[in-house]
Amino acid sequence: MNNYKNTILECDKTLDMLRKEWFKAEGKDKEKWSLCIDSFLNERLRLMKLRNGECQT
Amino acid sequence: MSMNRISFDTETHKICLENIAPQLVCLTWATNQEDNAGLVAVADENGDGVNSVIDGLLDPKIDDFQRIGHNAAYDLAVLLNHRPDQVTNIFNLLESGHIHCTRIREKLLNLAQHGHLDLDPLAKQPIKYSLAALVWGYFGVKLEGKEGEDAWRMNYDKLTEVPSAEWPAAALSYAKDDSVWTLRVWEEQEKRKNDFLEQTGIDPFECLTFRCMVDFAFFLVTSWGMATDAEEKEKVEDMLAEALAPEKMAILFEHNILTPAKAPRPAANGAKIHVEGCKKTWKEDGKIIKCNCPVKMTKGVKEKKSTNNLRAFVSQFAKVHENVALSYTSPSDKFPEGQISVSAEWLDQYAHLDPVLGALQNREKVQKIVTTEIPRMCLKDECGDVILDGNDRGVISPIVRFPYDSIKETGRSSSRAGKLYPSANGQNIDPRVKRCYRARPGRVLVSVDLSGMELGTLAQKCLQLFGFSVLADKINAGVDAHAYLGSQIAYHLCDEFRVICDKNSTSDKEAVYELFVQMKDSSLWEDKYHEIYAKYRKFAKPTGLGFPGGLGAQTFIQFAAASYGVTVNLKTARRLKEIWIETYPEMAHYFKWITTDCVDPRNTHKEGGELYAYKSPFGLYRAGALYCAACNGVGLQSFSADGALLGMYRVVRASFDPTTESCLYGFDNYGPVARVVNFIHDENLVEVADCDELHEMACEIGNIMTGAMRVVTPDVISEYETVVMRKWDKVTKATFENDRLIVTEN
Repeated sequence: MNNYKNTILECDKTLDMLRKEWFKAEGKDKEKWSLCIDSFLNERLRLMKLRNGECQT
Repeated sequence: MSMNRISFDTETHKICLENIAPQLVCLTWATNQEDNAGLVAVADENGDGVNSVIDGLLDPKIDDFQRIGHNAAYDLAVLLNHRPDQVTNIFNLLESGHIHCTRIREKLLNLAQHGHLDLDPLAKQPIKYSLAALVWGYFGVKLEGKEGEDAWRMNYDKLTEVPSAEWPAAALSYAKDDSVWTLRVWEEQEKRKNDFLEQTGIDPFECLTFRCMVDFAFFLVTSWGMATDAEEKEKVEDMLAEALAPEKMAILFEHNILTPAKAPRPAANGAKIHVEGCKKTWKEDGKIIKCNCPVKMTKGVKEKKSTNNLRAFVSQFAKVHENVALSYTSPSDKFPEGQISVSAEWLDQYAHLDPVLGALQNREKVQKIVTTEIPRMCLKDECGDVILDGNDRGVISPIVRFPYDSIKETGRSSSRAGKLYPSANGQNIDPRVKRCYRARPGRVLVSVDLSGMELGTLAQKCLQLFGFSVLADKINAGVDAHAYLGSQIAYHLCDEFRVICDKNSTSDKEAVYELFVQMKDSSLWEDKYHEIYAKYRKFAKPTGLGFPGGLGAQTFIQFAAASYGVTVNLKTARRLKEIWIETYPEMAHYFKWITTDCVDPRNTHKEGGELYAYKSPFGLYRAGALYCAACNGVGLQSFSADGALLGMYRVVRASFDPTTESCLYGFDNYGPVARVVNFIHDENLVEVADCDELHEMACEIGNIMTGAMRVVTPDVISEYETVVMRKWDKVTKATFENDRLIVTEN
């Protein structure tokens, strides 16, 4: 379970960085960062499900 | 294996002004054991018959029986009036899930299956919840005797003193039929529930017990009602008449949306109403003399709204303003594309953009109060007409009640005026009318409001989902969440504030907030900085409460203007959303989670898009929600409704049930020392004895409410604000004397 927890924390750090970039960016760059954030959020959700699955077993 | 079942129903005197849970005449029941339906009248065995049946029905030791009622809240209130000693048993049975209501069950099934409570999405028909409607729906059988003056339902008072053995057969069968059919409806609902559970693994009745408790508590609140103040009502009417005076409507006359009223005037041709035998004109000393008969008057014309001119104006308005969406009436043969419709909701969205629409919106609101709200608060004669006083004004009822619908799609409650007794929509009383309501003699009104309730539940939801929430951290640290967001908005959007931050080398979010909050103190900072604080904190409210509901920038502009009077352009709206997400990063995860994990697998939008489904903390499953409704429901409305409604229920129980050992229970010369009189989403309005223990009672209400919120938000602090007043009004500041709450005189 801890493995997933740590990976999620890492993911959050990256997301923080990405969000800062997104906040500064304008126009097309903004879209690029949005896509990046989106895929990291997907990843976070996937990790959460794995973590929860592990919890249940 | 499921429990044995007994359905029950009561017949009573007619609902009247004094009592909406009137005197009991008979109690009927039906059980799932074959052919076992019975009736006992109050007149049987000098009342012992009905009492022993009530003792059995409400005995908590008999716990292998499920008690079932249709609109059980009403029957329980009737039984409570007949047998006040049963109060603890009723609350205990409700809480242990031994009393259920088929009306609530039907709503929960609809909510779980398609998410619509009022309109059937397939049949495009209104959904009704009366027993007759459910029997028709499940069995295709029309219940006899439900309509018409001679229906027994309306005439049981005539049998009050007649033992049931001497009742006419029709009166007996009508009364028993309701219990029999309630039980049959329950069985059908059970099949529907089991099918749904089998297909989806979701139990639509997970929150049934809680919802039945809340429904009963609401009925008790409605039964008590709120006292009114006839003098204030007259003042309000004068004020409203002034607001509708022709000089205030000039802008609407100018645009021909309104045509001014015309008083009756003498006929232009000088016509008169001649008395019989009048010679009309005659000559006297060579002069023509005219008679003195009264002059004929033209008919007066009332102020009139021109719908066509209004439509033309609105159509022009939509051409000038980008992004204004017109709303249309349903297509008809004459207008296959429908006509422009200007509803109150439409005006709420766009009236801020144009002074003419603003004036119209104000007029419509005041008109509604004058023509609908005030007459509904007045006494009526047998024909249903308002009783007038010597000045042709309606006589206000001494008690006005707020009927509630305890469950809406969002899981919240609603209120609406009805026709059975003087009533009003207690959750949407115009601020101008509030003062018409007051505490009864010897009583004061205690208003207890859960502060920042929806922000708290949103924070809790994010904590549960993602394991972190900046919003929760801020609330728990005692930070003013609106000011915190306001400080971040000011940092990015207000040059003057940014300059000060830069001068102080302040860029860290917490330091920016500290500096921002200092500006609140006008003794330390010049007025202009104090204004910056006020302005950007106000900006934070629609930002912090609008965007979590999934609003886009465009809709946000309308929401901010309509709800908070904050006007922003599209660019600023977009920027506000960015700043908000930057401030509370968990919100990006929240939206992502809604779009990936809340998609409704069984319902899709009629135009092909996704619909969403979610569960509230107590297990209310709502399907078929639009994206914004889901965003709003998951973290804000449905989540907070569970906690707030539990708080309301507990306060009601504390004031009724001595076993709670609460200071809210007791009686003095004026009656019970505390009664909840209204509930408005995050506010409980309680009528409390004006006595030395007022402070303790107000704290007790606050503690019960925050205690209930803690059940749903265990990791986020919830707090309350309380004010004591005599007349209901928007009093914002509580008054204390020696650290004890006292009445804020208003």
